[in-house]
Amino acid sequence: MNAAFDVRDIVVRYGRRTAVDGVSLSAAPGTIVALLGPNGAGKSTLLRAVSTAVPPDEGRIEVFGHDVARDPVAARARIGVVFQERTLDPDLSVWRNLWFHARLFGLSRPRARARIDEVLERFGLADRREDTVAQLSGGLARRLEIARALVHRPGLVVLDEPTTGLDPDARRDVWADLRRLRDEHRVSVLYATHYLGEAELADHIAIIHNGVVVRRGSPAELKSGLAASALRLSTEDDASAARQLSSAGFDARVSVEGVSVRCARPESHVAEVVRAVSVAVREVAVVAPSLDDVYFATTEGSST
Amino acid sequence: MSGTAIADVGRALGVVAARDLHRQARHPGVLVAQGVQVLFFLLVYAIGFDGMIGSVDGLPFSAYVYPGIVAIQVVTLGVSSGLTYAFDREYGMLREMLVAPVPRLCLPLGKVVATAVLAGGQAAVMLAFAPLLGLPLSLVGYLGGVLAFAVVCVVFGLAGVLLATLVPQVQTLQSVVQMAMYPLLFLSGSVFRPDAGPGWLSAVMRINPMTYATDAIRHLLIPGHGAFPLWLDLVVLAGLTAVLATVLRWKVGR
Repeated sequence: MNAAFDVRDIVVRYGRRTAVDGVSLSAAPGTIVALLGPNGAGKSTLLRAVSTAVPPDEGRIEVFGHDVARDPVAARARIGVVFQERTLDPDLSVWRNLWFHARLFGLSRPRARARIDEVLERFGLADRREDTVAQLSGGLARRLEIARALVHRPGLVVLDEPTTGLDPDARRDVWADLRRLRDEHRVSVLYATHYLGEAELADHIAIIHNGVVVRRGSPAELKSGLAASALRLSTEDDASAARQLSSAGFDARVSVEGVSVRCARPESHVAEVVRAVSVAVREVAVVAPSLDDVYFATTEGSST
Repeated sequence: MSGTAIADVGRALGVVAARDLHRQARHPGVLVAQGVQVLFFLLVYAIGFDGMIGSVDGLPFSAYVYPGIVAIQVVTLGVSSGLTYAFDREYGMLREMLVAPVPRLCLPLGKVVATAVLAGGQAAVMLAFAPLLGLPLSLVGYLGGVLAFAVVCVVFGLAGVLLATLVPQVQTLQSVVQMAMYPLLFLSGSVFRPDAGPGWLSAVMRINPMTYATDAIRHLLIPGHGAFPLWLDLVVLAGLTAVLATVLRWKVGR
């Protein structure tokens, strides 16, 4: 089966500035992929390239097997896009915005009507169908944009910072919608965010910095692979314990919280570490790094 | 291009045009303002100057100038398609359209079609008053006139949207359009004959494409009163259309 998207070594330049510099990334259908990175990292440019809005200067992008450079129209038919900024027509009604999208995406009139009813119902917008977009709250307008991106039933939904400016309730709703899409319809989701908590909702995260993917993996893989993970011991004599651990080859340090032993996959080293000390051990704790630790370690490390 | 692809392009043009017309219908004030503007031109040029100038080539001045006044209105509308394109780009709606599974050229062209429909409608109303100004029209002449004005609107609509793709800022575009409109509209034979002024003015008018549009329409509505041969008018307009469409296609991509 074709990948939902398959990005191969793409480079995108704006004049002399290289926004995306040799990125490769792909995802199977039914996967949620997060692009995480600071502002200006190249996330939005990468999303624009995948959604065919910007042609890459080098490399190749396929969406469900359609090369976006050679057959952009076929690729676009499989993609639903939610842009970072509002792209709704504020003067037109909720229904009219959806109608315009559905017809532009090739749905016949009867099918467009049916699909619009369906997404309005699903996204809780049915009673607002005649309101103009200008009358909607920010959260509802965002839901409408997501609903609109789904009217033509794309296999891949691309979202650029979908929850920026939304309150916590609206954010939660957006994520519930996206997960439901993945679970019920095997829709793939590719989104950019700089909210670490939101990246954690993905199946796969790519951390982008200076136009390059500097780290990738599932949230769990990223966390466990980080050297910031550690075992923390509370002993009767922390200084002796640290010396014994160091001579056994561990990276051990004494801190106010006890002895900290930095290692990857700390949960698999508990027995070894306890055996290496002769003083009484009161408590052993696995200190898993948060995604914040992963993010800062990655972006700070790669910017030097 | 296959039959299905042509049907898809036609549908996309229709959808983009329908959206613009729908928006226009929600703002009837704009149409009213345009109507008042035409009325003003009629009062000043056709009726006001009529008594002073008398006749041109044996025609009442009002009859001679009337096709030019309609052309001013239609060309203004056409060039304004560029502004609607730029506003859609400014407010984000164009982004949504750019990721739709239709050839990109359909987006500016759909806007041009919408303004051509409006221009045809306005021309239909304005030409209905032509007999009152000494310009009687047969049914064929009337319908041909409406169609010709819609076509002229398409040509200048292409120029408007192309300009919008070349000038990224809306404010700059508005200034450029404002600056270009007066010479475009008034040095075009719309209100005086291209060969009536001094040589330098005639030369300037000959490089203004609207001169040929006005002249072609005058050929159609007042046979025998064109300043240039009709074939020359048509060749210039067809050439201009081809160049504008080609550059536009290149600018907007696939």
